[in-house]
Amino acid sequence: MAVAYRAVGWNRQKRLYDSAIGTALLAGLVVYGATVYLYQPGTTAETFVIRFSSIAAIILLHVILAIGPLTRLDRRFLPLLYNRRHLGVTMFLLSLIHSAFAIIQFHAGGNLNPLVSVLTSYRREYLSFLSSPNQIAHFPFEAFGLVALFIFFVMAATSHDFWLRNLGPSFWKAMHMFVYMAYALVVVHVFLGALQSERSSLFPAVLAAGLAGLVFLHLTAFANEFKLDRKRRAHVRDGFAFGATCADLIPETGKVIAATGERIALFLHDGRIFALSNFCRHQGGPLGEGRIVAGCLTCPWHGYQYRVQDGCSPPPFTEMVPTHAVRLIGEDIYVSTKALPPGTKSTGVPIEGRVNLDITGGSEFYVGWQSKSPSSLGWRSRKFFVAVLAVTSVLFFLAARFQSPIDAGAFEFGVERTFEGTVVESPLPMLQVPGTEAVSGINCLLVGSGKFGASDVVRGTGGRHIRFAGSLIHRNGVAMIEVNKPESLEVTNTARENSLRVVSLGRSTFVGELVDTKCFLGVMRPATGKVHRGCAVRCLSGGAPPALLVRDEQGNGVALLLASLNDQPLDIEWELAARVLEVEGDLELHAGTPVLRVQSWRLMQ
Amino acid sequence: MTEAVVSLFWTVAFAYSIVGLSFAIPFVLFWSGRLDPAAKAGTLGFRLAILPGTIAMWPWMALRTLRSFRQGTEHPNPEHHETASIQRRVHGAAFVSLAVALPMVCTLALLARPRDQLSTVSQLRPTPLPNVIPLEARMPSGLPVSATLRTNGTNDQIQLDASRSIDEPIVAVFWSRKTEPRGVPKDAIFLGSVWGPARLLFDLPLENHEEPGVLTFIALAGEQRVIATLRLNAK
Repeated sequence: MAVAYRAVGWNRQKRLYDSAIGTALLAGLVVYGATVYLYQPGTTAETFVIRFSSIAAIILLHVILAIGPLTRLDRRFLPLLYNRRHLGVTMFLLSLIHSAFAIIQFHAGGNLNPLVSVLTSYRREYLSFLSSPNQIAHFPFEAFGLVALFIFFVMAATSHDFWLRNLGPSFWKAMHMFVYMAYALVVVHVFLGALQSERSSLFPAVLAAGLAGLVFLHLTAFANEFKLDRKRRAHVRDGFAFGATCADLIPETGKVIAATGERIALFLHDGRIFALSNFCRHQGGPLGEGRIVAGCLTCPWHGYQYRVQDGCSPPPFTEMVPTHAVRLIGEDIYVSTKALPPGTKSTGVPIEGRVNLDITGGSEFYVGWQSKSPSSLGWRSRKFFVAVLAVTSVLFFLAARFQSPIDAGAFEFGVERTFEGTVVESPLPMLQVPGTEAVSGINCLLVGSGKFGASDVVRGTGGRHIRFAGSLIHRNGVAMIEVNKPESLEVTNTARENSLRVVSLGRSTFVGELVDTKCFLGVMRPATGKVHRGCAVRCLSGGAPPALLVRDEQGNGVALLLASLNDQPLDIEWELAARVLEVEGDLELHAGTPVLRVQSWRLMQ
Repeated sequence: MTEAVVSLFWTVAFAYSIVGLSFAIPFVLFWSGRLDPAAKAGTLGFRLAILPGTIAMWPWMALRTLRSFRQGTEHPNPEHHETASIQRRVHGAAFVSLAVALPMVCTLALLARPRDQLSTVSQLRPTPLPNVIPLEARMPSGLPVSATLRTNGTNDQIQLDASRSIDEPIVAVFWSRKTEPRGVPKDAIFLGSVWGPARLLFDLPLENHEEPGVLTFIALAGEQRVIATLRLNAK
């Protein structure tokens, strides 16, 4: 209800509402941050943001979806509905942060536009489930999240009252009902994404409980509405349908009837019965569940007001709802099946002693724009907020405590060091340091910046001593150098023979996950599994050294570098990154670094 | 979904947004008031708030704006309240569908999760040799590594146990017969690198049989320097 629109029509209740949202998010951030600090100390900032924003968005989505049916089942929850759009916009912003960080972290800096990569990095899996239902686990989960984000965007972008008024409440509502589809997409996104890697049963259990709770609330609310709609098959006489009896009415309090195809709000005001459309012009709220406040029928959802005599909002507001003619036959109230045009005046039908006018509907009627809510409702709202705060804090704690351990490894991002050594071009680009005639050098894998390999950077320098600036990546004794400033590379002497000490360990068969070494050795957390698959595909297709992830006796991840038998490019589809392969080949130790010369491979599962 | 199709999709979406922005700027500044009197005196914050929605809904709003220009009056707000009961039925149907379909999809997704079947590699970490520990030494303070020389009569191995992470990013380990005051001796043999916390085993060359020798630890990142030496003495 506005004469001149503002970005937000602030009032005390909205400030309280937004303070509650902010406090809950801040508490969640503190709890999640502290738990991650204690139990997942290797978490990088971007992974923290991706995870926190996703958890917060999912919790908010559940709260948002629960508010509607809760208010239908119990009017004491109506204060939660008043500013629900701010919850929705907050949830969209969190989803946007989650998506933006995930797309940048996992898809940017590679050989393909990140927005294209996010939908195509392992496109073979879009149809693979047709061959076997088990393959559904490999379906690209990113697509579900992206469609859900698009729906959330449209909803957030059209949440202002301007859109309600100009699209019409029905069209607006129909558009916003896509949130149910978005919810389903989010759940599938999580189950086909993060939960493919997370092994704790806590996460599917909590999501299943959330789904069960929402389904229960919505179907219970729907059943109540359905019962009311079924009552509309009342008998019709001369264009008037039976609605209620006088005993059903409480002065100054609405009564919803379903006498016709449309629901009608009956009001007993100043001893007279009035009938109006039940459909609020704002968001389609149930006017019949409202009250008379300051002489006007007031919608219980957002406090929009209409005069019961003509269905018009009091000046200077211009909203109007249709009215209905009323007949009183004995104790029975009949209403016209056809609505009168909005603005049609009615004097109402006097009830004259049929109802005790001293009875009231009580004082617990919440109107958001009033400076104070009824004290009993205020206390209940506070208690409810504390309960929500406690539950969300526990959820944030559990999420941080039971998520998979962060991969080991370190990336000296932003730390530039000067490296010197002898280049080994095959089987994979490496640097031997220190390179002297007497001593075999330590092997450092070389990789380019972003999601690229270093083959192009060091091409033609095999066996030569070089010096360059780079950043170190290392994990459990295996080192890699990111050549992030190719222009700094100087070749300092002529080529000489490769002095790498190679020990052959014979032919073996290994089952392991295809990973890219750059991420695995420390650049990315997580560096393995489905959530990282798009990134691994980009890194491998960009030339980062591939590896097969196996385990040592202690269960620690060991990366066997993959190379072909003849130093030619490997014949493996990089879209299979993060999938489990069985690889047969010759295992070699190149100065301690395990390299598997691939003879043959096959995809598992 | 091929890259060409997805590229086309994003190109169309980008073009739609650019056209939407081109329409939205004059709409939020001037034309929104033609459709809604309350927008005439709207604040700047309001105009910014409806900008994303106008970009998203521009064909709809452009049609309405055009109509308002043709008719010369403000177009009445659409009224579709009769759809409320349909929406209630859609709502019910939506949640019945969710209640049936989502648990099925999610259960299938969980059941189809790849099993943990990665190989365990033992070749890279040889099993302990039977006749062990003729020699043992602890590093000087500052480097949390203890070293053990293992042998079974035919192979020698150095076992390094790092109790915690080493401050240096790369530490290379060399074995030599004697120490060299400056750097690595000419005849030193590179064993590998050490981090920690971990247990690492390095093969020793046959020449080690004659004497225990010395381990030299070199920090390789940046300025390469000796950070510790360790003489392997008989126990």
